Amino acid sequence: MSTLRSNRGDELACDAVLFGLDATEASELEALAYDDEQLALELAAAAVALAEFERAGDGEPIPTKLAERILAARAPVVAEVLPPAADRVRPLPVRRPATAYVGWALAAAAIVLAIAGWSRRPSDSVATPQSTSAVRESLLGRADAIKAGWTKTTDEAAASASGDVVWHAATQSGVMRFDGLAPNDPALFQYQLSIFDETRDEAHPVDGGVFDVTARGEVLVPIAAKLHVGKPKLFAVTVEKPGGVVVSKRARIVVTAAPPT
Amino acid sequence: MERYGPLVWSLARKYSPSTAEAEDAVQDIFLDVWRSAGRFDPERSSEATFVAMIARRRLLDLRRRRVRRRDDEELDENRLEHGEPMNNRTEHNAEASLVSRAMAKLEETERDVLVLASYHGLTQQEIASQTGMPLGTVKTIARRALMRVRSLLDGGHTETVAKADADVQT
Repeated sequence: MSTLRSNRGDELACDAVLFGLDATEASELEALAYDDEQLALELAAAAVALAEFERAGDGEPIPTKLAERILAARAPVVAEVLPPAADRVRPLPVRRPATAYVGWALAAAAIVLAIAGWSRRPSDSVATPQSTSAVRESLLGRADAIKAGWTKTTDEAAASASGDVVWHAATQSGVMRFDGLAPNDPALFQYQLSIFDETRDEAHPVDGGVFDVTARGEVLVPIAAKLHVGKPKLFAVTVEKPGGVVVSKRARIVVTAAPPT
Repeated sequence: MERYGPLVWSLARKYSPSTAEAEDAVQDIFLDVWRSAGRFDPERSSEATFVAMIARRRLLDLRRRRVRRRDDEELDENRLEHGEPMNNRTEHNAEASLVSRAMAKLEETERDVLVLASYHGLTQQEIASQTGMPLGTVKTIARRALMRVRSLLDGGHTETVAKADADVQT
């Protein structure tokens, strides 16, 4: 393998795994026969995504209606891949060949069963998220957590808004509490948190997540910081288009909170 | 689905431009996982990593199709037929603690770019906007970071990392 081929293959394989390729690049990568390396990179990227998911702890169950729709669609697929029921309960032969294939096939059947919901053991590999209320209470009990009250702007959405934000740097977790922030129609606009960090350029605050306020009264929202926050100096909630933006233009700032210095 | 639903739902919402598309993606992903379950090798990856890999693969494919559809509409050309062959093999075991250690060895910018790309599903341009880095730097750092993690998870193939570093210098 030439160095040139290797370098180009690495570039394309990384780009494919992280961002996807256009048709021309995909053809080029296919010609390089980089399948093995690409798969290893795919697993590495998946492992990073899984670790970050567990670290963030912001997982939510699939909406009930969606789960029902998926379960309705699964039957033909599961029927294709599962061995007959009798094979599933047949005890292993005592003197079975000790080949990798047997364990592999059994594991494959096990994952189908587990994912299909037929094996309802509790999760042991993906963290079960705490309720937002429990997270907030836990953070408030930590001496090194910071808490700051919201200061409302003149934006109409903040007319009756109050509340606070709690942030814990060590665990990179936090919760916003709002009382009286105007409910939004997610089809029209959503709220988004930006976290201004002393360790980062002010022009590029950390995205703290997009969220909705669905009811009047008190609302708790977990902070989902996309990047590590070193030392927050300002939390700002803005009104953005549905889905949020990569970097806010700050046209409608609703509330801000400055941690005590 | 009960077990991996939150993981898949979280990834789908991050990679998809709307809730409706995220819902469709979740259904596609679970059907893919069920179809691909026979290819799962427990000696090479955890179940959760396998599911995350299938999810990311499908979500990137859907995003590419969206971009292609938009480009085709803009160019008023016929939509290209596209099929994504499933890669059937898994060959890597990435334990959570090992991943954490690997991530800890990255530079902060490498970690940022890798997390934004692999977990949050941001494009190269979006990462450039989010971080303020030039687009070319994002590409370089993303490649280097992924190769570093892959190398660290794979037992420390230092030559791969050295090559990635050399690539950065060129």
